[in-house]
Amino acid sequence: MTADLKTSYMTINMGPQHPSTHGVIRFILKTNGEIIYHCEPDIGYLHRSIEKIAESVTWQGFVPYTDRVDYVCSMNANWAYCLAVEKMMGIEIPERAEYIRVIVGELNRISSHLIAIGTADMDMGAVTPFVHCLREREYINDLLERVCGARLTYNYMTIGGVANDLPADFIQKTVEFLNHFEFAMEQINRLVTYNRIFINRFASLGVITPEQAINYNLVGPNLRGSGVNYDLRKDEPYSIYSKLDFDIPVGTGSEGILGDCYDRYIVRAKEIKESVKLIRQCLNQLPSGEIQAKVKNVIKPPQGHIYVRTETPRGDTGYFLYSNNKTSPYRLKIRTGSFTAMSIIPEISQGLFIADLVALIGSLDVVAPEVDR
Amino acid sequence: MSEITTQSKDRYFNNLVNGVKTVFEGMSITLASFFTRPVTVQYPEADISTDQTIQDNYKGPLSGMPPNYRGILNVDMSICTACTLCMKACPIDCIYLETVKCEKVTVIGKDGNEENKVRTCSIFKIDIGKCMFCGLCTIPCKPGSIYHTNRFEMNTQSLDKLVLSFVDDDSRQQILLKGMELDAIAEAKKKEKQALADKKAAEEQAVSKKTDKEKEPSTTDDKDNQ
Repeated sequence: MTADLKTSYMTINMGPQHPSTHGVIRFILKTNGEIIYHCEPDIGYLHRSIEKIAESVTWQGFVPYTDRVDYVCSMNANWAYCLAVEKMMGIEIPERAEYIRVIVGELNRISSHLIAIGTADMDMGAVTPFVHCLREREYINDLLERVCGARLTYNYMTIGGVANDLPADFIQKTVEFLNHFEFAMEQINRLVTYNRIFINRFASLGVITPEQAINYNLVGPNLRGSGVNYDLRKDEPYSIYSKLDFDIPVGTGSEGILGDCYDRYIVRAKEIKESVKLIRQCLNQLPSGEIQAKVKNVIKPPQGHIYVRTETPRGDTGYFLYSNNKTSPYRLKIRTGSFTAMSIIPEISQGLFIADLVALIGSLDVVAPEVDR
Repeated sequence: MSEITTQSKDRYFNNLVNGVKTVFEGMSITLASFFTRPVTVQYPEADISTDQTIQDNYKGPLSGMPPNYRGILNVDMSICTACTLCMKACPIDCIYLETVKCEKVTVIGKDGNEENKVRTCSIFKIDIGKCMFCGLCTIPCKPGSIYHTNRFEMNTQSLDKLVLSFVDDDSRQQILLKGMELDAIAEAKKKEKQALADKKAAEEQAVSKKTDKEKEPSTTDDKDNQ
């Protein structure tokens, strides 16, 4: 009689509408009680075929679509695309525009990391830090709204520079904000990052070894969280990053094992401080002059292809462009950090509790529209 | 064995003390925010459209909407030169316009530059339901007639009402009539010109035929010499 009794894995759908999946992603879990036996991410719910749209709009007309690839850090997405087209056409952009790009890009990086930290806390059940993070992000939204006129989908960078100059009181307001923010960030860290309960929840959980991280092509803070010191701003400098002085925080396994969730979390918290440093340097060195290189109304990049990578808050974002000397791209391919982060989840999540999977996703900082494009 | 247990015991109690300490630290921060000003804006009560208006009902640190906010599009038809550049710049084709001829006038754009206007719009429609407020249409507009306003509230019950038309029906009739009139005049002028040109061409042909006849023997002479 006992031979007839079988235990089988139970299949559970986590998502597509689940508060901790940060968008519309579905995880098909095969569980053995509370423990995950297998987890399969099912993506594609947010697919908008942005790459195909690119083939029917003009080169400049595609810039607002890059906002929608990753709406948490759209300034950096603009940057990656514009840089690719500029490299293809050999356009030199004015120095002031380069500095403005770094300032707004790093401001956007701070706001993106604030969201990452806040949502990771919220997934763990701490709602208060999330509200603190969003409050600080609101100041950055205010600043960027003054620069470009939008709060989320900026469309500020153009091919050949930036759309409009900084407003007159921008530098003063930004310095005021940074002075306030350094204090506020320390408060957020005291509130949650150094909290013993929070550390114990995150440390030694979801460990990704450096070898695994490289094998799965993890990028950005997720890779650096595993102790690999690789940042495109240092290793393959674009724009004016080679002139600026900043450090790359890497995970050390200070509270648990190298490459655990807490390492990925603390790398982001430390990167915010580096971004503040970068913005201060740029504001001090900001030269005067033109903000836009001379570019024709209708541009036709020469025949050929190019692949350009930039360091966005979610890792390196690559734009592959293929031009056949027409007014719109022949083919455009976007490579993003969230996509590769999804592919490592099945391997890491094996043997975790369901509640720990939420922590793992929170620490990887996945943004759903970036996974699907 | 006993060493390990004392070590883990120590760690256990350290963690416990540390946990309680950090919780109280967090609580102190939460308590401190009771005495700070709220950041949130009570939106419908507080008019957030400019820095001045926001101050009436809100004392927090955030500022109002900036003057360059990219809200709902508006068109100043008096300075529009009907160049159709905005329609071409729009990546999602939410701007539709048709142009007809008009009497030549000079308009002064928002930046003070003069622009010649020889055509005018008989239809100028913007589908705000489609518009993604990217601002690409405002960049090529030389007189600055198409611009973003600070408005962002536009709730309606039907999608048709989201299509903004900047030329009303009465003036469209007049513009079309005027355009037809001007077209007719231009057509007549063209015909006149054509007739004149034909006449001239015929005369020139006659002249050139004569000269050709005179020239023919000379060319043969040249060839012979060679």
